[in-house]
Amino acid sequence: MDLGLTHPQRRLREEAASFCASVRPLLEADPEWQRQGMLSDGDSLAVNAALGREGWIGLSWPPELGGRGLGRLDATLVEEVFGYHWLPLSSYLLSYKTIGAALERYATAELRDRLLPPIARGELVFCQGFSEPGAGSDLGALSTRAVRKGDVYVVDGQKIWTSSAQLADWIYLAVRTSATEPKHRGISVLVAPMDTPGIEVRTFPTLGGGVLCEVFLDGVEVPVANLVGEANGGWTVLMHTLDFERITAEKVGGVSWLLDGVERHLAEHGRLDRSSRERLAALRGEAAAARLVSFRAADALDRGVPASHLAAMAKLGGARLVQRAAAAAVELLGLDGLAEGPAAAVGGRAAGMLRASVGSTIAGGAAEIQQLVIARRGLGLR
Amino acid sequence: MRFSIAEEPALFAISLRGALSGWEPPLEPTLATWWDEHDEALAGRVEALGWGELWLDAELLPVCVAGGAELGRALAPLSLLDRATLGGPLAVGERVRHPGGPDDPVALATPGSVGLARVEVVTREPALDGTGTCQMSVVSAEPVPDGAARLHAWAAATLGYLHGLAARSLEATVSHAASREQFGGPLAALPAVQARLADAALAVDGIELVAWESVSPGQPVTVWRDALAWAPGAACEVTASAHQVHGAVGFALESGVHRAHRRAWSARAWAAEVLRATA
Repeated sequence: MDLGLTHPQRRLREEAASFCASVRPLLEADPEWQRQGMLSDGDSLAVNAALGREGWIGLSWPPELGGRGLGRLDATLVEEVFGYHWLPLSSYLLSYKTIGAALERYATAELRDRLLPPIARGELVFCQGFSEPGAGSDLGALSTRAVRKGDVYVVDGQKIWTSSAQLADWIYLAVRTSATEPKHRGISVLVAPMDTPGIEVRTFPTLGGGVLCEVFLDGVEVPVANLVGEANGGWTVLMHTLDFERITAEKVGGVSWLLDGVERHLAEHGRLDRSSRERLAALRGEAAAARLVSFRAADALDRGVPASHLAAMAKLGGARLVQRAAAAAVELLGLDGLAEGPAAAVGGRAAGMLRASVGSTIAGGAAEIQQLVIARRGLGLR
Repeated sequence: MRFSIAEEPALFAISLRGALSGWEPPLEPTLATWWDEHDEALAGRVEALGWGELWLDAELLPVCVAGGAELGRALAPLSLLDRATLGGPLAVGERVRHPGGPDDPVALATPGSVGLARVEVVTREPALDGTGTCQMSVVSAEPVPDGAARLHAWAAATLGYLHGLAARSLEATVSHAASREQFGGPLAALPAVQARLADAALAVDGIELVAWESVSPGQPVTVWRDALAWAPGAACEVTASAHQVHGAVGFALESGVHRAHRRAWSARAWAAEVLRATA
């Protein structure tokens, strides 16, 4: 193995870091950014638009769809840099990394050509309507119904824990299109503009410092042409989407920034002793492992080999790392670590990440689901 | 980035596997007595393949990882790592492991490097593992110009060893879980067992990846140092899971399950001490 970066990859990451520096003023003016403890949960349409303008959305897409024709690995390398600089990434991660990946593979050519270029330009933002009050990690239990009537599906139901729905232009919906098929069949995927009559959004604040949404769907008419993949074949599309969603190098980037900041703070205050150094080194080693596991999963997706258990490892490794690093940061900083706000030690990010990290082993499929995927598909345990 | 192992280290690993084939850790004496697993005949076999003086060329670093992994899979004596990468038994602080004869120099961990030293063994110290640990005093020591390269090679081989050890431990546990029937089915079907082994699999893969990153061209010293600060603890978690899933059977000495667990902890403590002494 050669796990060093190539010259073009190093240059790409340097360019990404320069871009991050250029949008810093946008971030510092945003109160939500200041209190957001998990960068991937934060959102900013202004930052997303800047990402699009500067060509950072859709790196792996072909130029005709607005991309640069690079690989998922390249995009993942860049996402880690975005994470290190605490870019609010929710719109980017939803629109490009997860939903965009599914649209690229499963949408009709017409739908793909219509949606991917504006996503790449940062002009179109998706949210993801997966979870429901009765279907979280057990996604197959979803009950939002879509009944076909002529050229439209009529959708009724409710989605919850939906990130960025308050900002999104379109929604990517998992719906049940057959009441008679077994649980994991009879599911389809639709996309619809958020201004379609019958869609209502309610936000609620979360422990992370931002908001999540409930999305109410009441007689929402979605053209059959907006079907992604086959009718009743949505489970395949959803699983494909999750493989991309579960690669979370941006979280590793955020952790690396936090560890650097904690070390600097301790050194400046004469508290960087041997024990602290050793703890930080071990966490950096764990961060390296989580980062490389993410890169390996992205490389597998680029090569088209089965990646579900590799992506689950990436998700589990990143989620555990965030929790351990946040806890260690607060322990090492002591009362300084509990302080919130930009004037606090490490910009209040230790306390922020401690709050937000609670969700890291829940969102995107609970840690227990990732363990089952690894055990069953990776280790063959039955 | 390339996630497949290059041909040369892969072929070397296959050769080393052949040399280790059939070798089993010797029967150990009563616990809490001093013993040294170093095996001169085995050392001769692996040295004949070129497992020696691995610090001489940075291009040999991938061989350190791949070869170290084979030694770890075999639970071979750590003396084979030390002599091939450091040029002698490892000494740190006031202890040396697998010491040779009174005239054989040891590799003494010093800030940022290792030097060669002559030491006097004071006491044979019974230890957790068959490392032949002795308390010693340094008679004379001198730096070596390639001490930093030796240290890097040793770290790479140790990381590889930890990967091999952890992978062996996990594979044996998966096999046990698949064959051991409880509660009307295999242990492998129990979600609690699956969860524990999934964590172990993540650790095994993580150790492998940081080991290879530590020898990838252009990496700063902090890369192998951070990797070595984390990986031994992760390996210990894997071997602890092996014990948990094997249950009482692994607690019996004749099971051999404990060997990887003790070796992981031994490697962990020595690695931590080396990191401190070379900081």
